[in-house]
Amino acid sequence: MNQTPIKLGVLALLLLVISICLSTLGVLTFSTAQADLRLAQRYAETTRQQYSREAAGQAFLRDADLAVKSGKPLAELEGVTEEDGVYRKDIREGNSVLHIELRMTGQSSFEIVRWETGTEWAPEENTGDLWGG
Amino acid sequence: MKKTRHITAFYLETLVLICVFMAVILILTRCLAASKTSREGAGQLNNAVYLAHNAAEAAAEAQEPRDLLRLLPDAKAEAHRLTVRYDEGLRPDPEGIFLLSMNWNTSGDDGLIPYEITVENARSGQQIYRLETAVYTGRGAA
Repeated sequence: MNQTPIKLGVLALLLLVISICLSTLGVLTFSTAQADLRLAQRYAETTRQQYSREAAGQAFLRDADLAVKSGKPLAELEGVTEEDGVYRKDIREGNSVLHIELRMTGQSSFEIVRWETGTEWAPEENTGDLWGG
Repeated sequence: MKKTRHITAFYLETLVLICVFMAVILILTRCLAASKTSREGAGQLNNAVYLAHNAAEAAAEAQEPRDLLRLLPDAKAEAHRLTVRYDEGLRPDPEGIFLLSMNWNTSGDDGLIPYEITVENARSGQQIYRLETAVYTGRGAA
């Protein structure tokens, strides 16, 4: 019994090419939209962290103000270090740090000498076969 | 007999092609619909973050909540709450899609004012973004 071979005609080939093109377009559109959404979520999270650090910094200012008004040394506040008369506090959240530095200007007053957000960078431990110099 | 088999094969092939093409179109439609939803969500989130960011900066600049109306003149003020509506172009609009709310708490007498800023879709009532910040207003420092 002879089997009739099913041959792909020109129309079938055309449909195949159209299908492949449409699929590629669909995948690209989807992946771009997902990337946009991920980027927006990252921006939202970064902004949330930024203002969370800001709120913690403002709370630290309140604590510092209350401390100096009550005659308590700033160095006794939690997480505060002192160097050359400058009191430093770092507030970490996410990959960034808010560096705050205060300097006493009188018995019960201080000035802010630094209020800066920086990114913590740690050198990669395993650099493969890179020449170390 | 041979001709009938040829015609059957042709119909079968056409049917398979149509089925495959329809499946591709269906998957593509769902894919494009999901992409549209993602893209709209990303756009709304970006706009909401932008509005919340602006409001947080206004809070930092105002120092006192009563000064916020000076910086956000289109806002409606209530006790410990301020609302503004924005359109899709982020212009103040009483019928706008974005509802920005700023809530603050001045019950503590230590000078620290915590702010809660939310942006929601005014039509669906769904919250898009929430931001918390604080401003210390009681500093007597130099």
